[in-house]
Amino acid sequence: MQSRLGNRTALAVIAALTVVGCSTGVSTPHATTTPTQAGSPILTTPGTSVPSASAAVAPPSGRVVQWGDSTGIVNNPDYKTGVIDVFNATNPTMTLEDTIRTNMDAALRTALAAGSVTPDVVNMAGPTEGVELALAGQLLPLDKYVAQYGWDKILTPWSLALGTVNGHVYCIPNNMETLVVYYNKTQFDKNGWALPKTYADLIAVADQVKAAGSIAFMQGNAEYKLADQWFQGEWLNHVAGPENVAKALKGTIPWTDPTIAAAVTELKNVVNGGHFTGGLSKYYTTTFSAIAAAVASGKAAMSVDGTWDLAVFQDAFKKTGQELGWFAMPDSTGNPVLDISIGGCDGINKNSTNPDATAAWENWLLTDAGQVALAKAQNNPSPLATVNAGAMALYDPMRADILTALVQKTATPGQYGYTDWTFFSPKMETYWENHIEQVWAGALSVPDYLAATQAAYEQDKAANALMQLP
Amino acid sequence: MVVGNASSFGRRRLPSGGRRRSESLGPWRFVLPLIVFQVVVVLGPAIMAVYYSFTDWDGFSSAPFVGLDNYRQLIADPDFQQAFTHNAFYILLMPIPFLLALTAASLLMRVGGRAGMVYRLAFFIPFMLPSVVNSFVWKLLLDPTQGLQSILPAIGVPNPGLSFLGDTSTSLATVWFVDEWHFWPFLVVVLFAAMQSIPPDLYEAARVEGASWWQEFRFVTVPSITSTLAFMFIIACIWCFLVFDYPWVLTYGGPAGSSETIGTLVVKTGILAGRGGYGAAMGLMMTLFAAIPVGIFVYLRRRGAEI
Repeated sequence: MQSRLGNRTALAVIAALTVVGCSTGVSTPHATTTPTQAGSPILTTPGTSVPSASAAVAPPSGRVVQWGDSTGIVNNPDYKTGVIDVFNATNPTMTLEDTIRTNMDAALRTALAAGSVTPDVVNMAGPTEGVELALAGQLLPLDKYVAQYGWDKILTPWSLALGTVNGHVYCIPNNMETLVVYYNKTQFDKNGWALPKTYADLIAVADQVKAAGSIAFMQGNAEYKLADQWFQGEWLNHVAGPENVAKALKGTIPWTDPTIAAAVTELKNVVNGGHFTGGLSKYYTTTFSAIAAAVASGKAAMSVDGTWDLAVFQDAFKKTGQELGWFAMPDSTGNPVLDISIGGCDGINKNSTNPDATAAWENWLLTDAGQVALAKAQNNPSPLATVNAGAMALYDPMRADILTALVQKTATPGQYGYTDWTFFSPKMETYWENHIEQVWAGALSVPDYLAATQAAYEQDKAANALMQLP
Repeated sequence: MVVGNASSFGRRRLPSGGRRRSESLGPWRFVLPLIVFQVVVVLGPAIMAVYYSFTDWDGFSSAPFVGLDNYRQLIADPDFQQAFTHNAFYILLMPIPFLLALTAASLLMRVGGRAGMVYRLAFFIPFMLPSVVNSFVWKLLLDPTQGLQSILPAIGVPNPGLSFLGDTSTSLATVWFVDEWHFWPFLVVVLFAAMQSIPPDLYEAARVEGASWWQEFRFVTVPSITSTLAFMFIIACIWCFLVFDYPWVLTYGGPAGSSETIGTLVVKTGILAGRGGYGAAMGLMMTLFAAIPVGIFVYLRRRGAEI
């Protein structure tokens, strides 16, 4: 179990140590700070020894246009006042224009295909889309800005690698999140269910919950069909293990490998065995609010979900007065693996008339000021090599606990898992997502599914579209 | 009163050649904006779609020509085959809304006054509501935990917990039902309007001959609205191949593709998956299927069928 108190304490201790280090003169200039070689994140407080984005170059000027989806964070009023307005106020030579678009992705793709000079910022759903647009020649290579601002030092190596295509950096990952198991702590305590230490324990607990007449995992995709991929990723990384997933992503083992097949088969068995929402047909018609309500009321014990839905669970638990807990799903060896989700990736339009100012905006987001502003607006942090503890402290405590645990995990390969929307190449991701329900329904066999996944992987490989892993 | 004679007409100056040309061009000048608009919005993209269907276009970059590869792939694509059978399912069940609409329209003919107006309005409401609104209403009604089934325990009946939209064996039929629930009132109103144009004399003559209600319906009503029926059937068949909004909102084509239609598959493939060329081929096939009923209609009319 990831102890909330433990993580908070660790956060405070590390932050305090950093402050002490600072007070003893261990100060590092922003532009030249080098994080640990392994990309290990260090938690620091703002304004101390933060290896942050450089402000050494002359500030660019002019107008930068960014589009945001009407359903996304950019449409959050806090984002407008807490991030955009702060940037404009503190960077008087530049003006960031933030425009809300309905169906932004389609509007963005249309604009790019038409050769439009706007938006300057190409705001994408994740690195996979970044690769797709980079290969289509729609993005400006950012190598110049990587060198200018030291992004290769500021960002974790794995995250910058995700934005790299054919040796050139095209997008800057942001919005780092993960998936955990939310659970009803009150019910666990009352029924004597122990928190699982291994994947086998998890299934054993699920069996106990089912035997007690409750639903083990309350899940659903009625509002968002691609929620399937959350569980695909969780079971893939925790049953096959992150090492095998990394090997498959690098092509060392095929996607038809028995370890991968075992993971897909295990998920199929779990969803068909009644552990998911009491039956697969209910899974397809259950909404997120119903999921949270069921777990909060004790009708269900657990739910595998992302940090993006934490507030929904918290609201539901407030209504019932029961206690919400979370833990990282353990893998078969007992390692509590957290899957990395990069929910956004920013590039620069190749036709942008003001790429320097656009890059400056992107750089500002990576600075202390940017990270604090994002945290105040409750937007997720960027995958920085050195995480700003001051910014982290501004998050909701449980979110901060989870993100802190994630940051610690991302330092070491094998400790973190790979979500498909972050690490899978475009064609493979599309196939993987669009056909899993056929596997669950028995209309497509696991071997056939994985053979087609491998074929899609080969196509991506031939097109140089594989995601880069460190 | 003399209103004119041959000589007076003869003295009129015939329009000059230029004026005749001007007059003959007159209507075209009015239609021209529409033609330009159609060329830009419909014909241009249609020609481009035909071209892209022979390429491996990803929606952004250059479009390498691949000949008939997309079409060969389509024929063997199990997702496309599945979607096609679902569209065919819509056509197979097409008589049901027509029979319902015919019955309802003929019954409405017998309800006059304000009551008739209220009925007609009530029938038409589902068609006036946006498909997204209809879909969300039905999603809620069919929800096994929050919908109509959840009310049953209040009257002593256990909630069966049936997930009509979440079960692969019922999702397509459920989507079809909601779609037709929205569509058939439109048929009612159209057929009702057609029935109103039938001369009352025909009914009076039938009644004098002692015709029953059923005989009036069979020998007067139906033959009198055959052309409307045929036209609506053709239109409905075309719509069966263009089905998109209800499966998209209700099930997203799922679960497991069990309610996928060609329309939803085109969007998923051509737009969301970035396979513009393949999606264009799929869209053209959909258009071709939709054109078949039109071809049959034209053929039958040329053969003298009174439709």
